[in-house]
Amino acid sequence: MKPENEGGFFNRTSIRYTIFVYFTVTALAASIFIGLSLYSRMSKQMTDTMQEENQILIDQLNRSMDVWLRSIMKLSDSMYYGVIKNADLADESINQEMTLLYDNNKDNVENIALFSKEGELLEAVPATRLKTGADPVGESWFQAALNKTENLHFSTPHVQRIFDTGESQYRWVISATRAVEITEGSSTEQGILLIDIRYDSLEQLFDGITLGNGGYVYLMGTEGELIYHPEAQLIYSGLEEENLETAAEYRDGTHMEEYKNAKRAVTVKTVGYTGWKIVGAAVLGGMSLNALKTRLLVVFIVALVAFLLAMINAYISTRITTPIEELEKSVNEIEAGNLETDVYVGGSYEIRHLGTSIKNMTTQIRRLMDDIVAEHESKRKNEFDVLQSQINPHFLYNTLDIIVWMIENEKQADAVKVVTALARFFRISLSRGKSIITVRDELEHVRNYLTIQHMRFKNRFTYEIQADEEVMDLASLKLILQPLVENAIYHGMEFMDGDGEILIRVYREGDDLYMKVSDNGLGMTQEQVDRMFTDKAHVSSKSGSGIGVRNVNDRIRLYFGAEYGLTIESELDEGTTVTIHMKAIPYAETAEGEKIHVK
Amino acid sequence: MSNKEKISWYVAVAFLVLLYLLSSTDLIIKEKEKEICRVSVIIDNVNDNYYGNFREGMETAEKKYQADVNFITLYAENDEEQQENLIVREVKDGTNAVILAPVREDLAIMRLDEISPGCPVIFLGSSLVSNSVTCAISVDRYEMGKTLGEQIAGNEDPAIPVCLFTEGLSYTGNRDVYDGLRSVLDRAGFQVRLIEKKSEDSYRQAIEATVYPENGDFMAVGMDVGALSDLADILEGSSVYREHVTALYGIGSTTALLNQMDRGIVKGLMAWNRFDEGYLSVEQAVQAAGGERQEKQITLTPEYIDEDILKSGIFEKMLYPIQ
Repeated sequence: MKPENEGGFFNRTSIRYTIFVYFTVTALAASIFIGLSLYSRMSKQMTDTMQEENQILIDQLNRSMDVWLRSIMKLSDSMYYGVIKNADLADESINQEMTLLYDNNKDNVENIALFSKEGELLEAVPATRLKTGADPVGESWFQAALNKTENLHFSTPHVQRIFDTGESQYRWVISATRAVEITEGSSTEQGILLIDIRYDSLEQLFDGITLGNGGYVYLMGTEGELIYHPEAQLIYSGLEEENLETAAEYRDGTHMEEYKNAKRAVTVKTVGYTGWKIVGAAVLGGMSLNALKTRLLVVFIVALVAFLLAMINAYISTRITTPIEELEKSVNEIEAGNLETDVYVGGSYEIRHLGTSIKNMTTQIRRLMDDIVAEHESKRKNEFDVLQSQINPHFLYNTLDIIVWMIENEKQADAVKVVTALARFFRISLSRGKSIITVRDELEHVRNYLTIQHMRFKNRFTYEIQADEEVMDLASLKLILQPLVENAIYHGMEFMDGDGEILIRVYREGDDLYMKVSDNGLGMTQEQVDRMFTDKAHVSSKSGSGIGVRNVNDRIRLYFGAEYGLTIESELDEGTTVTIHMKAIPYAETAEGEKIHVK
Repeated sequence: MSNKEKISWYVAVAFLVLLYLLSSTDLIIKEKEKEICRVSVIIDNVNDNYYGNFREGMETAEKKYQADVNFITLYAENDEEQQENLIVREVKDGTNAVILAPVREDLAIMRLDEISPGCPVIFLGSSLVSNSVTCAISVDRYEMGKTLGEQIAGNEDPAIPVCLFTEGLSYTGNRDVYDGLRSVLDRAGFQVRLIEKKSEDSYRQAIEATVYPENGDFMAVGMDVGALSDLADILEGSSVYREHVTALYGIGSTTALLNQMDRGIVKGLMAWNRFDEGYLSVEQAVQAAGGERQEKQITLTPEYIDEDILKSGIFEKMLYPIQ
């Protein structure tokens, strides 16, 4: 089965890193989302509050405008109903009353004048006369009053230039005019009452009023003409612009617009009576982060939050993954073959459970491996036992044949010697089923064998056994010398005539026990030597025991380990030396002479 | 924790510390404090009578750009040496920009090149440019003279001679006005006479000399605002002179001159938006002091004003800036 995410990013990274990345990214995304939501919500709330406050401000301004207009209307009414209507201009002057009213309102009023319908100046305060060539009838404020006699008219701001004040100054005014009835003797005529209101009295109402950062308030007429603007003169000069045409179309309320690449909330309120519009333009985004340091502060806060999240996530991921890493180390040890390692069991429930499972699994593997070794050993033993029980009947027949021949030729002493040797030979071969015997017994066994073969081969070879007394009580595998001696006789001595020599030497070196079987026979090639460790059937002679060199070697290695076993040194026509290398273990230390495993 | 991870944490901490230092301290980024720009306006006159609307514009810009404008008049009229001393004084006092209405533009440029003020200099009324002048705000004086000449030629009898009065032809722009006027009046067949102010009574003496011995009529043209104002005052004070001076034309507009136009003293004049001139000069000075790139030359458009045009209110907002 193909592994999941093969070749993917997370396939190459640790579980700790993966958890860390997932947690951090998720937490950061959640933080940013929450931050943006809060920011958006707060911005909206702030904008709403700002608009609400702007609306309140515009309403207050509207009320101030209303009071201002009412004061002018009241003045106009006082002038008309209190002064002009009751006076007969043919007999009396109303200058005193006009002056009195002017003095009471001179902070706001520039001129008060009464004109006849033809434009003749009847009374004026504080100005006394018209400029030469001045034509009041041609003025727009005069015509407006004439055209709609029932109304009080307010002009747009202008410079009143019809009066000769003798000053080199000029003043901007708003002219409030109305048609009035003038009594002159018995006749009543229509006239025009003019009140020039100082522009700066209007300006004072708006002066200093701002809407948030960069917002302002202006006043426009019914046709969209500018009446007041904080940058009025710059707009007239074309150095600045205002969105007058659009604003003129707006109804009362707040409107959103984009002007000069800036979003604005425009609040409009119509002033009663005049129909003028108070317009408040508040620039949205006045709260935007425009300073470099403020932006950096936001980046710092975001980075700090991200850092804290990363730290917390690192801690959490470490807590989760440390037991996994410990368990992984244990698994690596097991993978390397160390089944004895102490498997880590810790962390959360799942990891503990996994650790316990691995620990149990290791124990199980170890037990199974022991079983396999035991089974293998048992199989070898059985195999040896079978071989041992198959000692060539031909050897027995030949031996018995020699014994018969000796008895017939009245060589009873020799016959007794052979029979005795044969009896001892079989006694040790059986050894009550033991696999381990003493070196002494093993040498006794091979000596009996050699005695029989020496008699049989009519002294065609001589033999000698050399062994130190100290090795006699050491443990030896049973029947390991006899197959080697058998090979030496059958393959080394068979064609020799009386000068064959077999030397068996047993000695100890440190913890090692060596048994050497040397002959001066035909010798072997290296190929023949190698074949001896691989071939199953090794004894070509029908009179052999059937226990091969390989079997001997395998048994030694099985019992003592891979570093022990046989070595063969041989040269053609020179002879062969086979060395058995075993661990030197006293026979008494082996339990029942059976269990001598090195490992 | 591996070395790589440790290094990553150290780098992150170092980054946070750096961000903190950048955002919350003055160690790395020093916050620029709002500096008030000091601007010195040095005019060519002893009072600001002719600079009413200019000051309006100047003060509007001063308020808008939060500048500190120092308006300086001369002790003696048209004294270029004193003007030069004032420039040196203001520069020494640490002004950020100088707005100069040069008495004589050629001399002023020469002197500025010599003293190298080291701050932006805005020239008023001059179209001459040099490395020492950051920006020049002016009207085309030649065209203005020509337009005025055309109005005179169109309205007046060429048989009546024209006297051109001026504070001095060498003063800034007057030569151009003179040349513009002459180019039209000569062609129209007017007899032209130039009268330069040598003393306080120069104009009166010139009028008197024309009126009494010869009992002749003539037209008067004030080629600069000083000359026009003086002439208007002289004529307003004498009905006899008004009988012989058939018309008074001129260059420049003040409220007094416009009132005199209402009263029929001045027949026509060339005016330009002095509010804009004042506003733009301060705006340019502040921006230049702040290192912004400037227009080298700003040219204002002159308009011909007579009584009818004045009454029509077409140029009301230009001539009477809203206060």
